[in-house]
Amino acid sequence: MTTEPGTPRPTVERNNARTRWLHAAVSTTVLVLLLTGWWLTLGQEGRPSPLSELTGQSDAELHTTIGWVFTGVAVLGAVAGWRAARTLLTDSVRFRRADVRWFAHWPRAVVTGRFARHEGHFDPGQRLANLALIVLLLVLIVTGIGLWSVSGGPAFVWFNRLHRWATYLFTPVIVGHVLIASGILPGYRGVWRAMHLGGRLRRRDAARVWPGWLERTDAAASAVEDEGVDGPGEDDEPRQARFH
Amino acid sequence: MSRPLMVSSFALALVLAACGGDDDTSTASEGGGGPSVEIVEPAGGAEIGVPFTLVVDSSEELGPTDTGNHHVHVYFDGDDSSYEVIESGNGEEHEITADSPALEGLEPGEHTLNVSLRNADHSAAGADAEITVTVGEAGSGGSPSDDENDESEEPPDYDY
Repeated sequence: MTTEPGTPRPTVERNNARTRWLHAAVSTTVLVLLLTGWWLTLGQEGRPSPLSELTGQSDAELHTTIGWVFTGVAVLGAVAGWRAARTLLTDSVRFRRADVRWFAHWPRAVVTGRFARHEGHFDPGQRLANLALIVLLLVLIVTGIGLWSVSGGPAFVWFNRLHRWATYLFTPVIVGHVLIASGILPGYRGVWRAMHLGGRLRRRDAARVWPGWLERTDAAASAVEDEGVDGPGEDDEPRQARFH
Repeated sequence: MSRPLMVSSFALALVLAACGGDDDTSTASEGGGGPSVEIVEPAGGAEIGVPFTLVVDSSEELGPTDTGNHHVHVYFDGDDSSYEVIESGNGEEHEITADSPALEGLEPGEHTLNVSLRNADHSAAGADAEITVTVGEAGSGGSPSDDENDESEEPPDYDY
């Protein structure tokens, strides 16, 4: 991992391995929950989905089991990675006046890549999506546990109603997230690397989408270099947690 | 560092999953004051065609999931991987047609017809019933051979 002094690497690490594993676990379980949940919602109960055939469990059983797995992952993620979770929350609720300009430029920037500058760890659109996803996932977890615990009756009706409505709101947000993260939109090309494989993305992609974060990361890296080889320990600490 | 986190997540989830869920312990239905379900039609040992008329009677009110009421799963030979859902019309006639998931891959011949009362969340409610029937060729139509009303049935009133 040695580079010539003064020549930055062409890529920059956005997310460490722990964060990427957590994201992989959350996205896989959420995908299964969405597929089985929508299968049941669309009146296919009794007709096994491809996932149900693959696992030998009914879609309802699969939805419940994976719901528990997801809950376990979410709780452990929040407890074991509480610093990263705190950063996610604190940065997501922090909006600045300049972010209005970012939102105004966003529809065109999605195509041109010329985003207005922002200082956040996440871009302002990401922050809104983060907040929506966190709140909706919490509602889904709580109502899901509620549905499981009461099995039926009047309380079930309310849990079911909330669970469905949270799903209706959650689905377009997650579709938007996948669309943006996939890099199909020219402005977001290359950002998928931030969360997959090595978690490193090209500097020019980072500079385009997260300029403030990249500058702080570079500044911190050169500070470590200046201090010498014995940099700070705690390498497991998610990088984003250190720069806010 | 990440693997222990993943392993412990799944371990916790498995423990949680083991804590609850379905209680498919019961095979009996009547007695003991618990919920019950029975197959009123066809009669045990009857020969049925496809489509055929099914009447189930339960101690519990039936309804779609969003009502919080119970519903009934209908399947054959104890294989509940594919099933028909009865979520209305307790004690009324339901037509089970050829495109029902319960009949998927079912060969003509003697079979066990199973019904299982389920909670709104699809877990077992603790009441099941079964009869033996002889299934005829698809398209042979009609209700059970020993029943009076073959044609001009009312349309099925289960809804999806």
